[in-house]
Amino acid sequence: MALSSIVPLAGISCDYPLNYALGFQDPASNFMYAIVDLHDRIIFFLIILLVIVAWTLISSLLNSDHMALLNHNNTIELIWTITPAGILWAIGLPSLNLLYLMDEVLDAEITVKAIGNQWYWSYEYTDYEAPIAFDSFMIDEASLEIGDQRQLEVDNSLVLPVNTSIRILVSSNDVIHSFAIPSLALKVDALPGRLNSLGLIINRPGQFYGQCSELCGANHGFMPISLKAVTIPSYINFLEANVEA
Amino acid sequence: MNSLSTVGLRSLKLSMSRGISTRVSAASIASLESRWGKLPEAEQGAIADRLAVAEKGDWKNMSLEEKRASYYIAYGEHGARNPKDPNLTKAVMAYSSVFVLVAFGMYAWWQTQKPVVRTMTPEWKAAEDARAIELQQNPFQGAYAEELKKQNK
Repeated sequence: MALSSIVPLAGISCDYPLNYALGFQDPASNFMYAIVDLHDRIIFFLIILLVIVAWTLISSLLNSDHMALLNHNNTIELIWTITPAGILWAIGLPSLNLLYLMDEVLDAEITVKAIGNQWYWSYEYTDYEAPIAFDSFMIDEASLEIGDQRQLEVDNSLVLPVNTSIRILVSSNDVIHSFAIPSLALKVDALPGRLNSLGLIINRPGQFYGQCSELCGANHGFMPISLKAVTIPSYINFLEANVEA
Repeated sequence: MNSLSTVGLRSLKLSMSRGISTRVSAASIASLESRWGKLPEAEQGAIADRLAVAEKGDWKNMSLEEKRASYYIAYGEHGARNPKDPNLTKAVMAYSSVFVLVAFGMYAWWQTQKPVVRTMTPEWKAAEDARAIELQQNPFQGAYAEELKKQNK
């Protein structure tokens, strides 16, 4: 019996990538909201730059006399040196701010290990007296039920509670993998012999998908990550059911 | 060390002192604009050199034909100043479009040869959307988001 089937599905929302989507996946953690906000701020500057550069390019192409007035001018050279520097500061400072904010793991209440193997993930909950460990394999296409997500569904999802500070320790048993879940702004490499740490607080219940993000062999594209975020009572049920199992 | 100009100047002085005409023969520069492109390169060079020698002297001594020929050699519509082929843009667009269409045709044919993935049929997509609405999947984008919008209206 799949471990994740012990957790009731009622009221759980699932987030998956949409066909032909252009933007981010729906955010489910504050970090992801912040990344989307930073992205919007940067795009604001980029659109202004795009308009200016496109205007200059098209006008120089269409206006055959444009070379006639291109003379030496100290003022404009000063402007177009200082302005890009200012724009870079305006982009870089919030970006660095967010980067260092995200680097902190805030007094984690739960620690989970995610270990990459060729070609599946192993999850371990070792905070408890009876540690829980299981492997998570992709469900192959032939075994999918209608409505399932191809190459994203797994037999056992990682189950974690919402509104809880979680530390995920990522490592690998063989080659380099990468643990990534876009909805939660998670991506960190899983290196053999090294423990990388991720801090996470999930805002809403749901099932979030990610895929291995570092080339690791023939089935690199077929080792997805599935995280089921549940309410705290449901999480406790999951733990108790596993202990009994 | 004798440069070409020094040689030219010396020959000019020599020919002037000997009374030899420095002017270019009228036959060689008659209707030069129409004949220039068809002349062999050696003859083009020879005419240009003789005219250069004539230009080094007093321009008042040059005939109208010589001046016209000198101007054409320096600034006429030949070589780098050749006018653009009026059909060039159309030809480039036409050939490019043909190749793009061929490439697209090859791609479209190849797509028909690939096996259909059972999860990419409209029925499967409809089942995904129905599950999305039932389980409140993707609350900001996708099928459930549209359902929320309808409920909020």
